[in-house]
Amino acid sequence: MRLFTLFVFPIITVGIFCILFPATAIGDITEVDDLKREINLPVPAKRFVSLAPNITELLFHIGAGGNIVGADEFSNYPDEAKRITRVNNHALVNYELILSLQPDLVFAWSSGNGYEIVQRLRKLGLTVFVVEVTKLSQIPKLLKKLGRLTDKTSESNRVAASFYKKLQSLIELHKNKKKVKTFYQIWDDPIMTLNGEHLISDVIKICGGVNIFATSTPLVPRVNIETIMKFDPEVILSSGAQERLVSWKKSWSRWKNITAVKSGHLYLIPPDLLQRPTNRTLDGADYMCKYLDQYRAFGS
Amino acid sequence: MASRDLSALLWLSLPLVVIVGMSTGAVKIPIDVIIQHCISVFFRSNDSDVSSGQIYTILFDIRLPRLCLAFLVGLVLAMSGAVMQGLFRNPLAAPSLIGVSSGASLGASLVIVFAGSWLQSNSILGLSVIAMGAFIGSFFVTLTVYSLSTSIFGTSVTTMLLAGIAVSALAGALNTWLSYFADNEMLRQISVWQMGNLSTANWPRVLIIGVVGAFVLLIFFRESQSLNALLLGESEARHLGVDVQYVKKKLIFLTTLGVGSAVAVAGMIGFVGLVIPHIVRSLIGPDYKGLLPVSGVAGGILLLIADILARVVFTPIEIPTGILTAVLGAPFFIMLLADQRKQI
Repeated sequence: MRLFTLFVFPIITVGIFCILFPATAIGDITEVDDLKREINLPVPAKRFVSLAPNITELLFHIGAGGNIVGADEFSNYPDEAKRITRVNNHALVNYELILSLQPDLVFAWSSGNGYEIVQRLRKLGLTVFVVEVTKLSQIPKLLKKLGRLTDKTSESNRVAASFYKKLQSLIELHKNKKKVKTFYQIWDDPIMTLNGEHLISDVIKICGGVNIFATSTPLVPRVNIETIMKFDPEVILSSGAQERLVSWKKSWSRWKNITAVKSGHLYLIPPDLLQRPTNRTLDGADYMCKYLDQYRAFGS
Repeated sequence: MASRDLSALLWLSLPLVVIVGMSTGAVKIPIDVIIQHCISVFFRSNDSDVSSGQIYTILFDIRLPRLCLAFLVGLVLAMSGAVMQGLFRNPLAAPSLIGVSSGASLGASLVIVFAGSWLQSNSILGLSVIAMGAFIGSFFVTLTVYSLSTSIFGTSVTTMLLAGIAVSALAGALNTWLSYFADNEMLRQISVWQMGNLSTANWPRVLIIGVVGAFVLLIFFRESQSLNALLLGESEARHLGVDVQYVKKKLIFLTTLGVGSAVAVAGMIGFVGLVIPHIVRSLIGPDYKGLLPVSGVAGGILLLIADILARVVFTPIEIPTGILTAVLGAPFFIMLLADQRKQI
């Protein structure tokens, strides 16, 4: 009897478990990518290709950057990423080069790379994990998935937890503050902005701001100055180096009827922090929240 | 339809379109408010309540310069198109055919890729350095095309068309090469620039295109008799006493000047220069004395309507104006073509 409980029972239990859940057998990894497709790997990936700069950044962040064997032309952060073999840019993908690198996993960015490229890579027999992030709250989960796929579970869990904690504290800090009407400019001639679907709009929301063009379509709409005047933003933001600030402010100074211009609340957020959904987006969010707070301090 | 009737019809509809353009937009402004503001501007009353108000800014700093710019750009493009078609005796002739547009694109892309961001963010006379690059590019490419096709025997129209195609293709290839090696930011800048844009109109830009437009228009009118003679053929025109080589040189220079400035202030706006002269010709006949002014006004009005719709249809956002010039003009043109077929 004792023999049975000690050896046979556990063996039977494990056996039944394995029959019921074959995919989760030891060493086998299954993750659902952002387009809801199941990705199976027999063992964690050891060689992978990243087709987008934000994915490269996230992989480095969880300590898996050293195993990237191919990356896109714009993967420039951190510095080590610049030395990786380039396999694609905005227009072309070098399929032959990707195959010759023999990756066991390819990371693609659906809206950036395009779904045809993902399909083509799958037809070529490669395993492709598709990433699509539009909300900051999706990042911790993505970090954990990336960790499991690349055998960096503990590091990615730690990074994900700290991201989650910082994000929650930002949300908590700003959720009861006065809402600030915000205009985020991404282009000056013609004036272009972004709608509520964009990650930057999510950051505005987290900081207690309201994107004045949140409900417009498309993702990056052209707008004109009189519409901006009508919505009357209290803060105007854009991304750029601080050297640009003077000339940028000067170009807005004509429109004195806009509250943000009248009260001088025009701010530039350092480039690259908000453009890519990565762990650095939180640093961009810090800037954004600080600037909205400056307006609130002025208003009170 | 007589030239006079069509001309009168267009001139009468112009103030109507302008009033609609002034009152519609993100902020609806009733006509009596517009009139009230116009009166206070006209009599220079120092009513500071009015001149510092939001309505005043929208009417006179945003909408009016934009309407003026749209009208003037449309006018210059349509008249230049009409002149080109006469000069080349070719219905497909448009400024783009002799390299003006591809030259402008190339010039703009060169500035975007090679000039520093400091240079780009500064402006001269309200025009960005990119616009200057476009203007210089269009001049340079047209000059190349012109000198390729000019010999001691004069300028050959056929050679000029062919040279235009070849040089445009080359400039286009260079442009593609530049955008392929451009980084993210530059790429976006190049593609946005090529869409054409009137939304950042300001008075200095209106002044530039106004002065250039007036100059070009005046000389075009003076040459309308020569253009009529040229319709018969070059040697016939020569026998009628037209200095063909001189007229050609002058008109090519002026269309390049006109279209180059239009592109510099408003980006690439297609269709107006090609199709408006055809529409007008089929309505009032080929006499350049009527064709030139009527094409000009019709082009101006088409671009005005297109631009008003561009900012109103999907408010609060805008769509590129070039889409609407084609959507408005093309069906009308197709209708005319179908009509002509019935007549034959």
